[in-house]
Amino acid sequence: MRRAVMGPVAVLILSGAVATAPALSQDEERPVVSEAQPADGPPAVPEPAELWVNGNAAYEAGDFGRAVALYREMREMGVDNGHLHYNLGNAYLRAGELGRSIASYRRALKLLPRDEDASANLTFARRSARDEIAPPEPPVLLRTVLFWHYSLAPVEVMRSAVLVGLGFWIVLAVRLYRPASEVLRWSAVCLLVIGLALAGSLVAHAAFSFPVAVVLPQEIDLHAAAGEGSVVRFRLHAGTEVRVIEQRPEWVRIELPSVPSVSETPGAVGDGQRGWSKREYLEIVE
Amino acid sequence: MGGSTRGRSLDWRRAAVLVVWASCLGPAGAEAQEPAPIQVTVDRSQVALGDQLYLTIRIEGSPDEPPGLPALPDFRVLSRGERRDMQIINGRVSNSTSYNYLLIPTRAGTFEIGPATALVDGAEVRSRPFTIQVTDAEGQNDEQDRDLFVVSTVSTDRPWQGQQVIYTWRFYSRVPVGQGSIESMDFGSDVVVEDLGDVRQFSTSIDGVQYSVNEVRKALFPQRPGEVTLPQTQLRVQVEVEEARRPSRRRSIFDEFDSLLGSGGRWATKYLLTEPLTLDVRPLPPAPDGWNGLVGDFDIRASLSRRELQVGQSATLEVRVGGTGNVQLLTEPDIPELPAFKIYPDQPDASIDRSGHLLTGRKVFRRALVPLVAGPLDVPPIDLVYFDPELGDYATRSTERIDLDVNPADGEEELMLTESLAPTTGKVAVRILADDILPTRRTAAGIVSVTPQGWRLWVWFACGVLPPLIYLALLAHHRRERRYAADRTLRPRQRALRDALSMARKLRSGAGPASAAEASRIVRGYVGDKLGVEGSALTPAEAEAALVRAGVDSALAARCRALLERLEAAQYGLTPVAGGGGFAAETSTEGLSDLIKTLDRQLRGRQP
Repeated sequence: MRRAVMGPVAVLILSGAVATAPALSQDEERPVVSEAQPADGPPAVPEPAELWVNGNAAYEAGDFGRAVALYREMREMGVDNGHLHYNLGNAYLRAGELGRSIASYRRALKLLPRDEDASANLTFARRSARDEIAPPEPPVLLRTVLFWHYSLAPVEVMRSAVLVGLGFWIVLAVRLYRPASEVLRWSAVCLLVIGLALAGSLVAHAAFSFPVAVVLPQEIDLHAAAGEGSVVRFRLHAGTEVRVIEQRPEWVRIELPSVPSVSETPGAVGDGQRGWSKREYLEIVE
Repeated sequence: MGGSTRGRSLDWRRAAVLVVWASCLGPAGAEAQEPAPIQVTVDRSQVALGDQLYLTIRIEGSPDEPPGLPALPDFRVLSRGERRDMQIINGRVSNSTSYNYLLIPTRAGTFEIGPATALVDGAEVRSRPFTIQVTDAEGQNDEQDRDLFVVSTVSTDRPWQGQQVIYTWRFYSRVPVGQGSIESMDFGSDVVVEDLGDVRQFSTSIDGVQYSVNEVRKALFPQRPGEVTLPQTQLRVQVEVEEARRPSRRRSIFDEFDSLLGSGGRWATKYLLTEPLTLDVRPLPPAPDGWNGLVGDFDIRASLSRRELQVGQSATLEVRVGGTGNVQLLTEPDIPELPAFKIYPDQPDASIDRSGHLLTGRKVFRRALVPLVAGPLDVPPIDLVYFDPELGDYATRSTERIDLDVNPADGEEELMLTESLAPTTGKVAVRILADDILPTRRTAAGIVSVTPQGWRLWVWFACGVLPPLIYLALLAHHRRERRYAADRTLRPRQRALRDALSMARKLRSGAGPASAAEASRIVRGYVGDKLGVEGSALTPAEAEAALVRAGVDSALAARCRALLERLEAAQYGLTPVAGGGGFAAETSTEGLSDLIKTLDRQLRGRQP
């Protein structure tokens, strides 16, 4: 039992040491990690920390396929954070899976909306996409006006809303005993406004977010109806991000967000064009 | 030295009704007879001190200028604007203009209000005089019972001319108040006024009653000898009047938000006036030479930055003058002649401190002194003359003499020059040669899920859910305490039945004097608590009368009285009136409980 606890702790400390001392070589790291594993008995389920360190080591060693596998295993164990998606995006991109890397970067930015590295890598990956289609993003004006909604992760919004609500009720309670205090009154009004803004952001995250799909293969056909025999309306290429408007078990209906230079590109499709694709060709980011 | 009054609520609706009523009567009266060219109306002819009334001057036609108000020396007059009306009756168009004023009486009495005058089409029109009766505000003599009042005091009522007088204005409140503003704190031209800090807020206790106090302090400087009157100070304040306006409606949680957003609608305006104060200002005795108007307590100090220097070098002479009093008049004292120095004056630094209890200030005068000759030199003492109110005479403070040694000059100064380097040229634009993704993360945060799980999830959930519940509990407790504070009989009334039954359960059985005394105390206590009177002081007859007045059946009240009489008889060793058997049964726990429950059913819901 003690060993079971100490193992992950040791790996955690090690991972912190690795994070703060990047000059350590892979050879120096691996034996330490292996010491934390049980020597005999049935193969133990690796801890997330162990997968994390080994995934990073595989990435550094150029074994991007293994890095992807280890990171994905962490995901399947329930670990969900922006850093993991960011590393997964990097590994996918190095492994040549453009669509999945863009999907991973989008997930990373959903959880770490102010992360400049993830934003930079997503921009880098999008440059490799072939289709001249702007990704489905909210307008700049909307992002500016509702800055807190777009610059805070849903979890951050929820925590902020809880803390602001806590402050609001405390101020209201104090105001019961000092009803004439203008400071308390305006503090409560400000907290109420902030709390409502945060609550509205939570509602918007829950109710008005639309899923986005990223094309995985090099080229896919978009049909007029959900079926192989249907007419192919247009084609999309790896890394293109589209809006999902309907999902079925095997088929997904998507909508193109916009085509910036549609008038200059012969045969290009414009805004709002829709088509059906097989689900396996798309990775959907909720 | 001090005085106070209390306010009355402002009934805007009443005034509005009167205006509408007057507007409706206008056309009807026009058909009957020609209206008077000028009419003066008030919304009421009798008003309590501290209350206010509305005066409206209505002029038919278009006046050439605003009307002349009658003399109103016993009222504070506030203009509330004017209104023009146009009426068309049987094709005939008539105009009228109404001028509205708010009058706040400053003393009690019966006042004959003279005619108002106006010029209409070049002709002077006059209204009829009328009478207003101002009564003392009833029930306001006992300061302990007052919810709101203002008091103004001065630190001394016999100051010297120019002496600092601290004027303290305090607003005491023990009920929730909203926005308040001092609408007039004008002391006239006979005094110079300086603010002393912002409004201070603190709590104090007067005869055991806790008050919230807002305090304004000002420093006054009377400018002429003789009697100087400080006029009344008027406070306009919003006061919560929840129960009085909507007694049938219970407050909800949304009312708190209404109050928060200022839309509760349960606030009434009150005007509070202080009594005028009078200062008996004493003239100053004849002034000596060198006095420049300072009155108060002042000091002077002088210092020199260097005591040893060479000819041609400079030292800064710093003269600090400061103290308490009319510091606005601080000027540079006369500095004696200094022929051995070349003097360069500097800008003085002045600071006035208004944050304390008194107005204090200081000024620092600096002069650069450059000695012209070598040898021992000195700066002689500098005098400051001021009038000291404590002494009642002029006083003089002086600095100490400052000695310094001046040596001969060494020689000329050598200048050190530095050459600047020429700027570089030929800058090249930076080009991106290649790009790549940014490296992976190794931080331990990569293994932690952002979504709270386990006990952390419960902590966040509790932080979100518990505060409003705790607030609602606090709100309920706070309202209950306020109701108890407003009605001291409410708590005993609510607990009367429970306390009486609890005591009845502990009652010792038997017909002895001790049991009788205990049973009597229980019944009297219940009746007293329930009816809001002192139960232990009730006689059986008074208890019966009080119960009947409260709506209890006369038979039940008589039964209660008879029981109390029998208990009294048993308590003092007399023979019970109705025999021992019945007495013992009624003083049993069940008997008393039945009686009290029966009384309670009939008293339930009735106010004392």
